[in-house]
Amino acid sequence: MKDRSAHTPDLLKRKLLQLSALVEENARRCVLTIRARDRDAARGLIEADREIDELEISIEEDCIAMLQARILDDSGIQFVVAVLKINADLERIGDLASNVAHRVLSIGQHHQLVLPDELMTLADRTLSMLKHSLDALVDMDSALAREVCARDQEVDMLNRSMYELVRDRIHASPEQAERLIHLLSISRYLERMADYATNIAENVVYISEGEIIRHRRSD
Amino acid sequence: MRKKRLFWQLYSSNFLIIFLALFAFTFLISSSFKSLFLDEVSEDLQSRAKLLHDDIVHRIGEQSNRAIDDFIVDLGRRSSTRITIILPDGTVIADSERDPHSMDNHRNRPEIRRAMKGDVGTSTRFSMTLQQNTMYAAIPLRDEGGILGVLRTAVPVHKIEENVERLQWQIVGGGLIITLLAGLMSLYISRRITRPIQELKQGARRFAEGKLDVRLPIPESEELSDLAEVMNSMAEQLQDRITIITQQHSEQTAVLSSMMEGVLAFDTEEQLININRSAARLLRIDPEKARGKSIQEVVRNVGLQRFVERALSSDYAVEGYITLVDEEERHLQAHGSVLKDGQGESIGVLVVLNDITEIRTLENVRRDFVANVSHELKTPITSIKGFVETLLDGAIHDKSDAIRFLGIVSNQADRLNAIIEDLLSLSRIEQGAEREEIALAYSEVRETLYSAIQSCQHDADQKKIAVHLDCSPDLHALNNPPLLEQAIVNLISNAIKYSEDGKSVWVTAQRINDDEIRIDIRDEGYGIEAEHLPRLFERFYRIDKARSRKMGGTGLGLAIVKHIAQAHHGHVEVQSKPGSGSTFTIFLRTNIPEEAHVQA
Repeated sequence: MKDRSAHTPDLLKRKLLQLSALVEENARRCVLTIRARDRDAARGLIEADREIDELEISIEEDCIAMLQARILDDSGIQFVVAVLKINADLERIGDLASNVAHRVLSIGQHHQLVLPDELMTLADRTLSMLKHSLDALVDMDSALAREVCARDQEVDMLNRSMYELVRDRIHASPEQAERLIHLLSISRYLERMADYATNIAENVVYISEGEIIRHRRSD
Repeated sequence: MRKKRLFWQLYSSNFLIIFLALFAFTFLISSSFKSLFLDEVSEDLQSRAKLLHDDIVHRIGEQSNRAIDDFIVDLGRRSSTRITIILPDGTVIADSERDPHSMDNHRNRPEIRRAMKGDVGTSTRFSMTLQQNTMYAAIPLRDEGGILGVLRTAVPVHKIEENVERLQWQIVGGGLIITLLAGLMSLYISRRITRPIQELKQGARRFAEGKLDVRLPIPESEELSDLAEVMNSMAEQLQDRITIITQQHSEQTAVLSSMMEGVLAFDTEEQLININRSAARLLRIDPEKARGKSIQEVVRNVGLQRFVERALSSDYAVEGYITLVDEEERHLQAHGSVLKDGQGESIGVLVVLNDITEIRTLENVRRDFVANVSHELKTPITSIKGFVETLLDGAIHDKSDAIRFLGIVSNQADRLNAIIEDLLSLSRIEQGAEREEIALAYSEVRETLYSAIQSCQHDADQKKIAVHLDCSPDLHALNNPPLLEQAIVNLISNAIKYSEDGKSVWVTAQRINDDEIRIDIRDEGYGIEAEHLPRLFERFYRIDKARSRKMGGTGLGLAIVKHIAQAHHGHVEVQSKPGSGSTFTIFLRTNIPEEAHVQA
């Protein structure tokens, strides 16, 4: 599938779903890596990110080829444009997952560093949002996609409380500052992964309802 | 085009035939009746004229025209016939209805002309005199001398026509009645012919709807009864085959769904054709929603997607390993082979998935175990060997060093011994549990707990740790006292080891329900981080290797506890929070669970 070029919306969607599978798998692995602080897993994850990048480029090329061929009707163009956006978002999520892995490598198997519950909650929420946004993508389920969009704020708040928590801990034990800052970065990466999951969900709504809801949130 | 019903086809053609036949018949009959009637009337007129012939001939010679006219008028009235006498020159000398003088010359009337020639003349035409259709018959009046004139008799045709018409109406009426009756009969016959066909049709429709258990009624006619029998036997065979197919299908479904292995079938477009329960559970998908969708939509796992792709493009069976990443990683072994139809064409691919996570884990545990055992044994041996070599190299001559070194050697040998003891008892418990050689008796547990605490009392006293026991003397459970004591000792000594001086340890035992009791060993020690808890009971798993060795642990204590609990058909749990102590709980049964035999 990866090597074949997609020339119909259906094949394009399948290819995008393949990418989404890779990305979700990597995201899950990165959370497992945080839990187990497993260096081998972290390295494998960084390797897998290369595959994601290749597939992302291939999908982008397919999209451009389909747009250039001028064979699409209005809804087809809308779909391909949304695929382009989701494609980019997925690739960014993949990048963030490998960023998390890098940070885990930096922390190492340092047992004295206790992982805050907030971080694991944040990781679980992010994974669940990603899963649901991808489920929405598979079924073009705009109701589910809207649910995902509504949950973004919760993750933002968790990230903010992580910031406070890390700040307090650095005050308490400055010798752990470096590792705590890595933790904060991980939290920030996870929060951004959730943001991209929200973007994907918004694009699912865009495809299925033909409506751009991106900027409505600020209203 | 709208199809005509057979009934109407039969009925309408029957009816048409009857109608045409009767119509032709009526027409023929009525027309021949009319001519017959007219012939009769004509004959009658002629006969009447002939009867009067001699009388009139006689009178023409002797009486005046006037007298003849009177006679004719009288005669005409009595016989209700118009009688006219015409001279050869066409002059009318007598007429029963009119005054002869007012009448035209009749020489040119067709019947008169004929009669003048000596024949009998007949004619039917409109009489100017009577103003109506009239039939005439004229005969020549002759004596020896020749033709004296013409005697003509006439009756108005309308009377005849009325008669004929009445007759015709009667015939038509009869015809209509016959047509009606014949129509009714034809209706009945058509019904009779088509009703069995109708019934066959309804029966066949029921067959088509799948109601194969009904049978067609057998009609009387041979052709239709043959047809009905053939259709009945067809339905019977169909029913048999469907039963067989349904049975096979449900057997297959039962086989598929009861398989431990996950089975998935995809078509050549990578769309899901079938999935069994195990596969749905393994991949966490809803089989009803997933069917007919592409693999990319159904399974968000690139490994499996690629595997299906590979299996589809390969002519041979393929094998592969797939990792699913959910809350934890799961490892699957996958077998894929191309599905072929009767013509040998590929119609898709069948994938069989085996969850080998446990096997992998066991393999890892075993591998780690061997590595750990070697490592654990090597550490004291290296140390012993080092000190013995140092002694051999001369340190033996310095008495205080020699005693110190030998003390270390002795310590290390003790340690080696402790590890081997633990390993042996672990394998004894494991083997005993496997072979069901461990004798379990329903006995009180307080005594066992008490003697366990006694064994640890020395260590506890050294750290000024109080060990409290809370257990009702009549609390009974299924147990093997020496083994249970060993487990409790391990837990209490751990609790003591990992608590600061002056803290307390509680040993409490209580009944949960009719089947189970729990024994809690709670401490106020350092506690354990959550990430270690799942692996805590693994052999040689240590949270902090250096600390554990310093404390003299073998790394097998908790593994022994776990195995003892399992040998009791029970299990062990731990709850802990860093900084606030840990609670280890052993669950024991009060009776042998039914599934014990299966587990063993």
